Amino acid sequence: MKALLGWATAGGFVLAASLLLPPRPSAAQQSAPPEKATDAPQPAGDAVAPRAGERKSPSDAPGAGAQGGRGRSREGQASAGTVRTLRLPEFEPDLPEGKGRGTVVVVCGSCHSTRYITIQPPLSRETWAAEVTKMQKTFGAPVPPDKAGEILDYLVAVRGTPAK
Amino acid sequence: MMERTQGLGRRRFLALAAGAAGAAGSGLLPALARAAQSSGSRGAPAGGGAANAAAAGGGAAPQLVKFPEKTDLILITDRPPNLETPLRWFREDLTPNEAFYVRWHLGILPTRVDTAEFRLSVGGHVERPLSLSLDELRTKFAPVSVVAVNQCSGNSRRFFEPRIPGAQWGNGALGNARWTGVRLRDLLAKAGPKAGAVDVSFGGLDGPTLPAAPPDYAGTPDFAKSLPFDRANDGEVMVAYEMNGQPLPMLNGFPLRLVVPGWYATYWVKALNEINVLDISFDGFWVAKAYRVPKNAGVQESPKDLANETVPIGAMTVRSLFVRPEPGEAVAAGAPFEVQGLAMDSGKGIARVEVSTDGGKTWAGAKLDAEIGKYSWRRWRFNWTPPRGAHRLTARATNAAGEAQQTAQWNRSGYARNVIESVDVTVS
Repeated sequence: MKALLGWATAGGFVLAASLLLPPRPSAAQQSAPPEKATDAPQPAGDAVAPRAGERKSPSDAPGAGAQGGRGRSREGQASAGTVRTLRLPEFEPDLPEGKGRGTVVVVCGSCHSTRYITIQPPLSRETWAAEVTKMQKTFGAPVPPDKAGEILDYLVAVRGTPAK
Repeated sequence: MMERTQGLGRRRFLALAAGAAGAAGSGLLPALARAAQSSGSRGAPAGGGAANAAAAGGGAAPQLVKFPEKTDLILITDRPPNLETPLRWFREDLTPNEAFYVRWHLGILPTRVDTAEFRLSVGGHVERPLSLSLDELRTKFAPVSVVAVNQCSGNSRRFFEPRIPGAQWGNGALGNARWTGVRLRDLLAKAGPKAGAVDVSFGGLDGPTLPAAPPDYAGTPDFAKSLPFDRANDGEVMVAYEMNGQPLPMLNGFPLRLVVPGWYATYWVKALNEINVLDISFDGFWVAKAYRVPKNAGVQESPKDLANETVPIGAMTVRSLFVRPEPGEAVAAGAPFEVQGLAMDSGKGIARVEVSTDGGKTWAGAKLDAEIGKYSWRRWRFNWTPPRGAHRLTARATNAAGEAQQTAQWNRSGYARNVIESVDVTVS
C-alpha cells in the first residue's frame, strides 16, 4: 500500500485515484442495520483455516464477514487456509442540517466517520477550534483555507456549549 | 499481498479535490459538497435517528452493532472501528475474542492477510535482521502464555468532568485474555541487538489515512509505537499469535499482536509486522506527541493549569469497576445479592477491595477470587442483603504497593482513569 500511495504528488494523485480505483460502496449499501439474534458469534479461529471452497458464514452478511470484490478471485487461487479477510460495515450517522454540513461531510468524512462529531459531548468553540486545527496540522487533513471557519461554525452549532 | 481498507475511495477523492480546489481559489467545492451530501449519510433525512440521540452522551441507550468475527458490541465509531464491550461480558474471567473491544486509530487498517506471505521483520540496530514467517515464529521459538488485561488508555473517558473530546468510552474499553506467542526477548536475541540500543519501535499493517504528498499535504502520522529497550527485552513483552487459544480476530490484530503486560493497550500494536531496534529515542508522533500524560502518579492536571511536563503513558493505574449490579438492574429487597466487580493494576497485585453500601461512609472488605496471574484482573465479590430503597454502592481497590484509587482526577486527554466508582441501585 505504501508503494501504491507513495508515488504521486497531489495533483496527479486525485486524478489517478478517480481513474484507477472504484468508488467505495456507499454507506447505505454497506450499513444495513445489524441483525440481532440471527448471527451466532463465530469462534475467532474459524476463518483461519477454511477448507477449500468454504467461506465464512453468510450469516455475517450484510455488511460483515467474508470479503468479496478484489479479494475474491485471488482468494480462490490462494492455497487453502492462508487468507483472512475483513469487510467492514459502516454506520454513518445522519448529521443535523445546518450551514456547512456538506463541507463537513466531505472534508471531515473523507478520513473518518462523521460519527466522531455526533458522539462528542457539547464542547466549547475554543475546544472545537483546537480539534479542527489538530486535524489540519497534526493529521494532515486537506481543509481548504477558506472552509475552516465554516466547519468550525457547524461543529459549534451542532455540538457546542451555549455561548457565554 | 496484504491489503488494507481502500485508501483512495470516493470520499477521499472528493476531499482531496476539494482541498486542491480550495487552495486554488476555485469554486469547485460547493458542487462536490452537494454531490457528497447524498452519499455521505444513511438514507433518512437529517435531524433524527439513534445516532444523534446517542450522541448527546446523556444516558441514551448504546447502539449495538455486529462486526466481522464479533458479537454485538457498543458502537463508538464505525470508521475506523471503535467498539466497546458490554458490561455483562465481564462476568467471565477471560473475555471471549468475539466480545473483546476494538480500537483503531486511523482509516487504513488491514482487510486481507495472506498467512503464507506474511513476514515479521526484526531489524534496525541489530547484527542479523530477521524476516520471520508465522510458521517460523511458531516452530523456532519457545511458546509462552500470559493472562493479561488489555485496557485502552482512554477507557472510561466519558466520565471525566469537564468532558474531553475523543472516543467517548464507558468502562468497556478493556478485556482480559490468555495471550500466547513468543517472547520478544527471544526474537531480539536471535537478531542480536548491537551495543547502545535505546528503544524498540513497532509498526503494524495499518497505515496513514492520508499519505504525505509534499508540498501540499503533510499526510497522517502512521501508527507506530516504541518501548524502552529494557522493557522490550524484559522477557514479559510478547509477540502473540493466539488470544484465548485461537488466532486473533482481524479487528484485534491478526495475525500478530504485541503484548505488553501491565501497560496500556496503546503499546499492544496490532497486526504487528515490523520491529526495529533503535540507537536513539523513538521520535514518532504516537509516542513523542500523542499518548502523553502529566508526569505525576495520579495522572492529574487541571484545565486551568495544564502540566508543563508530560511523559509517554505507561503502566496502568490501579482501579476497580462494578460488573453487577449493572446500572438499572433490578435488585430484590431482603434477598442476598452478590455484588461483583473486577480490580486490576500494572502487575503489582491487588491487595484489597473495599465496598461501601452507604455512599462511602463505611467500608467493608470484598472477597477476592484466586489470583489468575499478576497481569490478569482479579474478581471480587461482596454479599449484600439490601433493604428497600435507593442505594449507592462504591468500590475502591488498593494494590500490593499501597497504590489506591483516587477520589478525583482529570487530564487533558482523558487517560488512565482510576477514580473510585459508584453505582446507584434502586431496590424494590
